[in-house]
Amino acid sequence: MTKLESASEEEQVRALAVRARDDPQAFGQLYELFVDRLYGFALRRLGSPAEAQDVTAETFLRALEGIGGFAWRGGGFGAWLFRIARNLCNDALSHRQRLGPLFADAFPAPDSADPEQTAVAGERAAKLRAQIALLPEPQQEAIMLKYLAGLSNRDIALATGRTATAVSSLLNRITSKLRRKLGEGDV
Amino acid sequence: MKEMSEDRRRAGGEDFELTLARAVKAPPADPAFRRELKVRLLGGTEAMTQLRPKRAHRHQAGRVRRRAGVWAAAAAVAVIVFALVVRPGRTPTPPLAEFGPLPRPAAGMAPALGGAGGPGFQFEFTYRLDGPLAAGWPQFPAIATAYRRAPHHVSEGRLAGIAAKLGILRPVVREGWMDGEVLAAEAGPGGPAVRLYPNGYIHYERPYDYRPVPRAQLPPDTWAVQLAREWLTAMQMVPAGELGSGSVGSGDLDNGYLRVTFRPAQPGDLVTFIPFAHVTIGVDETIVGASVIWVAAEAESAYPLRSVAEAWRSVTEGRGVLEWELVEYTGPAGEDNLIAGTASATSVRLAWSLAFGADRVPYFVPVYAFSGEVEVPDKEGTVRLPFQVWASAAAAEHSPQ
Repeated sequence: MTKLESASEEEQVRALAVRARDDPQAFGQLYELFVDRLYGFALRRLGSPAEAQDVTAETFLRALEGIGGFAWRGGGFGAWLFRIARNLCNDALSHRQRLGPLFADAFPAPDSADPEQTAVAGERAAKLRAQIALLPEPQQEAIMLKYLAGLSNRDIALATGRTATAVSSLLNRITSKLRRKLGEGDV
Repeated sequence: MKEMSEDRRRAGGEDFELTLARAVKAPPADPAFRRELKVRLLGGTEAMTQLRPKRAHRHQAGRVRRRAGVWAAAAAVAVIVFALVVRPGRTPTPPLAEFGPLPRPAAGMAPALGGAGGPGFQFEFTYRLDGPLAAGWPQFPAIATAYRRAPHHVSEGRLAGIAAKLGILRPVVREGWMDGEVLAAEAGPGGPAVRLYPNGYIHYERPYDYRPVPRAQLPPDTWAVQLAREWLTAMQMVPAGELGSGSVGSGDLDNGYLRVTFRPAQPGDLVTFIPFAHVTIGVDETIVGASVIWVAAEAESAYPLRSVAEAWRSVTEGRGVLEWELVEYTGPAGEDNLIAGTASATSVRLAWSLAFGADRVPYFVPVYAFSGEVEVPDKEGTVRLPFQVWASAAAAEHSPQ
């Protein structure tokens, strides 16, 4: 997963988004930067690799169609892209009238050189996954936009129609709640 | 970064945040899917980049500069065209070069940087003729038809008309879309919805129970095509008579639907992927959704063609539009992302490409499309991949080369 947290990386994406209006290669670079995170987000939201691929393809297709009109308005390309993906996921979920199998344990956990550390960390992550799956859907979505997609609070706000302050507050509440559930106490 | 640190402090430290990232981590997209989607997207980029006024203005300048030459060239070929027009029994030839200089068949790119070649790669292709083309050029007509199409019509009235046909009677609303707006009509929360995007793209979806079904529960191919054709015209998404033969493509029995794809009836052979109309059909012949980007027919005009040899020269000089198949390509052998290879063309045909004029009027312009295989080094040795490259077929006086 590529995270674009630093100012320089954000600037890079910004420059690519501007160039992509006239330069297919720039759009291709944006594609490479975002495709796995977008697919992962869709997969976690929908639970089905096939549907996640559909959402990923449709998102990039719409982005390609709209890139000429994309303007930097205080939010990033990522916010715009994930907003499209979010709407598509919501559409798919509303069609199904049910949630997909979020956080299927068949998905591989991150690797580590230390097997013991991997086991402990993996168990903790598994517990956390189970708790996240119990969260209300908007909270799950916020967690995934933050920790899977790597969006800033500002971009999450733009993608979800909230204010950055509300996003920060929401994430604070969620993480505190998850820590309590994991028996690690509040901060 | 400051924001993340603040969140970490509130959440209880970096360790917990890393655990959260570990917990939500998803596997990457399937590599074959990634590559295929990239090819699909970049195949479309050529057409989409021409939607923008900036590039169109460049065409306008070219149009003014070349106008004098157009009339001289038109006079020069008038005798030939006249002979073709008056010959008994022939289909009447449309008026000659009536649209003025034709726009470029694809976005202006650096030499040998085809739009579908892949992002981040640099190309250095040597083009050569092989197979039947090594023995000589096939014959092509002296003139071909160029098609002017109607610009996209995006208005609340248009969407309201489509929505009404779909049974969506709520008023059209404007939704934020990048720095502009998209027009939307929804029957209600979770109900059917249709949207009209600024570039003319129409997207319709209705609630559907996506579940596995046997193929027999979906309509047979021929009936599905007929059903989709009638629906598209009845819903006023595509003018009657403009749809090509249609085909049933990527059906998905696991989710209980099949998809019918149409391309324009005229011209028959389009190298660009726009326009298209997709219709998704579910069980009980239900139209589940549609994605349409179309340009309606408006006028036709005959244009004198340059020789295929001249077009090939444009290609070898890096002024063609390249599209090649990267699905099985593992990437360039070196670290500089330079892909050097030999592209051997074995066939050529007269086809058409979408192009946009200075006034955003879409055209289908004639092109010579060469195809064959390109041999390039990849990380595992050398690989041969299909390619296609096209260049304007219109005579130089009628088209910026």
